Order: sequence, then structure tokens, then C-alpha cells
Amino acid sequence: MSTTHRQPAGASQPAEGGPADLPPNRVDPEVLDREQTRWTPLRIALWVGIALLGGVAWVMIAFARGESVNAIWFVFAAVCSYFIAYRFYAKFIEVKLARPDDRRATPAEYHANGKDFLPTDRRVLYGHHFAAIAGAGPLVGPVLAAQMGYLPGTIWIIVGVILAGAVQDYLVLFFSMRRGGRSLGQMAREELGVVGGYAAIVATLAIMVIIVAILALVVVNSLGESPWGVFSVGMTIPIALFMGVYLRYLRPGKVMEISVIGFVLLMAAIVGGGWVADTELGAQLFTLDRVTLAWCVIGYGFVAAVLPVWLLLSPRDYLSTFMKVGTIVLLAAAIVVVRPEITVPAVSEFASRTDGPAFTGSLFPFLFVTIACGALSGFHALIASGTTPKMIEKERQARFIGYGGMLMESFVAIMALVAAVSIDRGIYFAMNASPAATMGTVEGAAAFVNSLGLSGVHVTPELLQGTADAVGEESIVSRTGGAPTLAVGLSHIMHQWFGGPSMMSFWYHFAIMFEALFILTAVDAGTRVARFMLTDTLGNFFPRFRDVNWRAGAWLTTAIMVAGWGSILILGVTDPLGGINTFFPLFGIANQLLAAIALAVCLAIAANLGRARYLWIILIPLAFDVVVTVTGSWHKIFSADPKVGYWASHTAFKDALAQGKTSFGTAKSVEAMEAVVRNTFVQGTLSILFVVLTIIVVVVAAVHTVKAVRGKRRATHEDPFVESRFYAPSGLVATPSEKALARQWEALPLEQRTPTGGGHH
Amino acid sequence: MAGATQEPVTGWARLGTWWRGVVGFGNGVLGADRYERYLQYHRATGSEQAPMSEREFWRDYQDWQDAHPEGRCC
Repeated sequence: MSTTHRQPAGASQPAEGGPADLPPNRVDPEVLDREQTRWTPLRIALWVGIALLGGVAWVMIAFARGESVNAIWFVFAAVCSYFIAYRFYAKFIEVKLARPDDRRATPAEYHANGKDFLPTDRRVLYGHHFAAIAGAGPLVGPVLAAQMGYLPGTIWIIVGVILAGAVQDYLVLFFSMRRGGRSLGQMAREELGVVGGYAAIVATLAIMVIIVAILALVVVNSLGESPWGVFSVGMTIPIALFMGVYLRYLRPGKVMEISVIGFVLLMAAIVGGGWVADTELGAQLFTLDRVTLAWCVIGYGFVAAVLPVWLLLSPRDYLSTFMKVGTIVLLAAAIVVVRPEITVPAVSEFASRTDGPAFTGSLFPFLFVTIACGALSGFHALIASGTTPKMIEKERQARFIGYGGMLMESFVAIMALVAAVSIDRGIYFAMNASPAATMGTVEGAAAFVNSLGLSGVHVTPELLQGTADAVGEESIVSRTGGAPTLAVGLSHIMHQWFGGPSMMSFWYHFAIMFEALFILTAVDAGTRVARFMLTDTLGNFFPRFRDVNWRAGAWLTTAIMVAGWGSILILGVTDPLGGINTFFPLFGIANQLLAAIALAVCLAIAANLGRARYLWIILIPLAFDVVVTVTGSWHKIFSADPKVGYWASHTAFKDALAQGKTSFGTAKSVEAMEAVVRNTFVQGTLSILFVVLTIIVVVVAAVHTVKAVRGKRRATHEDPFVESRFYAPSGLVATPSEKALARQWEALPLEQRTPTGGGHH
Repeated sequence: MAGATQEPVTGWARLGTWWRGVVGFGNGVLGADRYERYLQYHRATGSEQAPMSEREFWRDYQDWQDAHPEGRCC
């Protein structure tokens, strides 16, 4: 039952601060502004201090030409930049562009239904939003980008989040909140019309498919030939089933209790994995090749998406959230306590080359698509619209949740980068070069890495084998995808804090476990969301699909989505060119193109609001993002270098086949060559599809924007104004007047002070 | 806590408040406090019907979740 209390048009409103029978529903903006932004000597000293510390940290990272730089400077540079950006730039965006109004009720208040429309404490919502947006993405991208040295990645992660990623998240959240929590697709249709709207929906679906596929590829690569990893990650399924049954039948609602139990079982599964992998039977049973594992993930994805959510999906989600918050805190503490020395060069040899082993292509544009999550991630727009805006209590909180939440994800990306650059460069390249280059052996890997001609890099087969033994793996050669590298980096840092070298194998598998957990949660939730998007869209043509209880329809649409990402996953694991290094750019480009769509929708909305003077806030990230992704797509489609261009590679292998060659480049057989021809065709076609759809959306948005700026505004799609009957402070820490007002409200009986209160039902 | 002298009581009390805050935050982020919030919602809307029991509520909520998927990001 939904509770709404829309005010009749023209209803008289109290002149000051809301309903007459209640305390004011906002702090007077002038008073608040004075409290938040007035310069006192203490504040001046504080901000000068933050600026100085941040400045020194940046100098240490960028210009120190000593032997090494301490990881703590990365933390200071990032955190000080975030504080300054949040206090000044985000505040500027709030005042000039968003202009929140706390008198206005949020959807959580006027649509409250006790389920998804649920006003939630801002600090809790911050954690909830963060857990929904952050996953394995910010952990993987920076690791791959580390091949170009730490500086390009660090600059992009920090500057990118401030000017692009956090701006996108904040504005999408804000505009969706003003529109009853509508999804990005719905907003695109309303704001951009039929063509732009459908292009946005199709692009979103296609992009979700590719993102799920590449995430699954990362998991498969990290678990292939690793009995320990397969056992412990596989155990998450029975653990989740147990948790599901516990919550459904044994003790409903005891979510925290079962999450703690699940966590303990998870740790036991990691430790037990070591024992199992040591036994002959265990090693035999759980050593799976990547193709088999890919089929397992596909089967899992389908089953998880059609089973009732209480059985597998939601308990997994509890476990994943529990681990997410825990591990991030642990990782941050470890970096601060251990303070590893970073010895890799700030800018590596590969920054000016296009043939890097971890990912191919030049620094511009490919560094900016390799690091998507953490700097700018379009996928967030799907959470920032639709999910979080239905829970936000007050309009002013959007800055803390949206902008602040993304800053936290950026910090996770910085920590992942630090972990990746804290390990030996030789090991890094041995792990991230494709099996075709290293032959999959320690000797081959050592020979390959030493032949790269990198300064100060000399690996021996013994070093590589020793590292593998230390982390409890058969081999670490060509463990591409970023997750194993991060796991080695994390175990390298963590063992210096807890447990010494004997704990390295535990920490390695702990890291593999949480990455797999995040990714598999994203895979099953993503499949379900995509399935519902598909049924929604199909429902426009075949109304039967709208019936959520129609099992055959649910199975069919799930199968379509799973077949979509599953086929790309299979192509990825069987790719003779190495898989991740050719597919990952597609992931980044897809994610950034989604960001372009989200920013384009925001641009059209802001222009329609008449904020022409401040459109540059959106235009800067949108223009940069479009240039990066279109250039990236251009390279991938038109580059004549077969290492970069999908079609160049496609033609080269096709010609070789036509000439009757039986081996070409890294493909050693006719079947492998045919696989390359097929894969590059799929990759090339997807690149064209994504970029064309996105250009349609951006162009339509640009046309609407220009029209609006010239004075031809469309009717607004904002929900009508409803006077709020509720109050809550805006930032992490409440100001004195916010606290005083909150206390007035707390003194009222529950029936009057909660958003649903006041006798409306 | 019970049986402690005056000085440690404030220390323990402060620790207790802090701990309750952490647990409350964790419950909120996980969504473990949904039933309590449903009860509040129910009371605040002034509904005539008796609220669902904890077991009924979770079953109803889980079935509702089936038709309302929530995305998880990368």
C-alpha cells in the first residue's frame, strides 16, 4: 500500500518553514550557509593545513626522484584532494546547479511504502549506497593501469573523480530524486524523446551484458587452475543457501547474526581450501580449466537469476556487503600501518608505447578507459537513479551521499593501485602478460619479462616460483585480469601486519575470495536487473512479458541475458590473444559510454532548468568522456595496428587463413586463428554498436540543450512540489542549528515526526 | 554495566554507546533493521490493521524483492 499526500495545487503554504503545526522543515538557508561556510580563524588554519599537506603529498608523488616513495603520500594526496573537492567544488555545484530545497519532500517521504521508498538515515544510506556502487571494478582497473607507472593512474583517479565521476553520481542522484526516483532509462525517455530514450535503453542493456561478461572473465581467470580458490569460492554457494534457509525458516530477520555466522564460515572455507588443495583428491577435483569454470559461472548465473531471491541472491548480498565494508576498512588500515615503499617508476616505459602486456593501446585514451570505476563509472548511474533516491530523506543530503559516496570509491581505487605497485615490477608483468607471451611457464615468463627491456627489472624463474609457493598457488604466471595481482599485492602488505610470511597464502586467497564474491554478486544481480529491463522493454510489444508471475517469460528473458554475457565470456576464456587484454578495454569503453549517456541526460535536464551559466560543470566531464571513448572506439575500430584495432586484427588473421597459413602471431593453430577472427568480429561489432548508440544519445541531448539555452524550454518532468513534514541534517556532521532543529523534531511523538506521519495513509 | 564502580561506568557507558552506534550502522547498511522500520512506518501511518509479525514481514518482503531487483555495481 502506497502512501502519498500530494498537496492540491495552489494549497496555501506557511510562509516560513513548512506546516504550521510542526517545527520548521529546514534550517534557514542563510543561517546554515553562515554556519557551514563562514571563515573563522580555526577554519582557515584547518583548510590551509589540509591544502598544504595535500600539496606536499602531491609533490612527493609527482616530483620526488629518490629511490622510492612511501605509500602514505598516496593516501594524503587522495584524502586531502577529496576534502577540498567536497567542501569547495561539490558545494559550488550544490549552490549553483542543483539548488536543493529542504522544504521539498523527497520521494522517500511522499511515496513512502515501507519497502523501497524508505527514508533512511544519511550515514546508513551512505554505507548502503557505497556498498551498491563499489565492487571489484575499482579493484581491478587500477591494477591493470599500473603498467604505465603509478602517476598517470593516480592523477586520473583523483582528478577524474572530482571533476567527472562524483559530479555524475551526484547529479544523477539529485535529478532522479526530483523525479520520484525514476531510472536513468525512464529519465532519458522523458527528457530526450523516443529516439534518444530507446537508444539509451538499448545501450544500457548491451553495456550491462558486456560488463557482466568481463567481470565474470576476471573471476574465471583468477580461479582457473587454482584448486584452493575454486574450493573456497565454490563454498560460498552452500554457505549462502544455508543463510537463505536460516533467514526464511529458522530465524527470520536475524540478518546481522547470520551474516556474522556466514563470515565465520567463509573464513573457514578459505582455511579449509588450503587443506583440500593439499590433498590429492581435492587437487584433482577442484583443479578446473578456465573453459569448465566459465560454464560453471554461466550455469550459476542462470540458476541464481531464476531462483527466488531469498534462497541465494539476497543472502549472498548480505555476505558481500558485510565483506565489502570490512575489507575496505582493513585495507585502508593496513596501508596506513604498514606504509609500503613504492619502488616502481612514476611513469613507466609503457606510458609512451601501445604494446603493454596488461592492456594494449596508448596512454591516451586507453588509460582513461582502463580505469573506469574509481574515476568515472557510468554503471553508478543505474544505482544513483532508481535505488538510492528512493531512500534519501532530504534534498540537501544528496551531496554527501552522491558526491561523497563516489569519493570513497575513488579511495578504494587508490588503495588498489598502491597494492599493485607495491609488488616487484617483474612479478607484475609475469602475472599480467598473456599466456601466449609467457608460454605459461616460469622460464618462459622470466625470459619474456626480461626481454621487455624495463629498467631495474630482472626476474628469475625461482623468484616467480617462490612467489607462487608463498601464496599457495601452483603458478602465478599469466594470471591475468588484475584480481590475482591485487591479491599478491594485498598479501604482500597484509602479511607485514598480521601473521608474517606464513600467512601470505591466507591473505592471497582472502583477496581472491572477496573479489570473486563481489563479482558473482554483481553477476547475478546484474543478470536479474537486465532481465527485468528486457521484460519491461518487451512488454511494450508483447504485454504478456509484463506479468512477473509468468515463469516461462522469466526463464526465457533470463536465458537471453545469460546467453548474451555467457557467449562473450566463452570467447574471452578461449581467446588466443590472451582474453582480458583485448576484452578489458571494451569493458572500460562500455562503462564510460554509459557515463556519457548519464551526463548527457543531466545536461539536458540542467539546461531545461535554465542553469545555462553553470552547464560547464557537466560539459567538462561529458566532453572529456566523449573524446576519450570515441577516440578509444575509433582506435579499436579503425586502427591499422592489429595489436590495437579489432578489425585490423580481424583482417590480418583472415588474410593469413586465406593464404593457407597454419599459425599466425600468437595463434598457433588454424582453430586458434579462426577463434581470433570470430572474437575480433564480435569485439569490433560491439564497439561500433556502443559508440553509435551513445553518439545518438549525446547528439539528441545536445540538440535539446541548445534549444533550452535559446529559450525554448520543455515542460519539466519533476514531480510536483510537496511540502515536507520532516527534518534531518544534511552532512556527515550536523551544524549547531541543524542539531537544535533535529532535537525539536525528536521531541515529537513518532506519529508526527516520521515522514509518513501526520495522519496520512 | 552492573556492579562496576563510578569511574569505569562512564567509560563503559561511552564504549557501549559507541558500540551500539556501530552495530546500528551495520544493521542499517545490511538492511537488518527493516522490520523495526516497518513497525515505525506502520505506527506512523496510523493504520487500523495490526502490523505483520516479524516472520510474516520478512516473507512478504522477500517475495516483494523477487519482483523488484536491485542492481549491484562493478
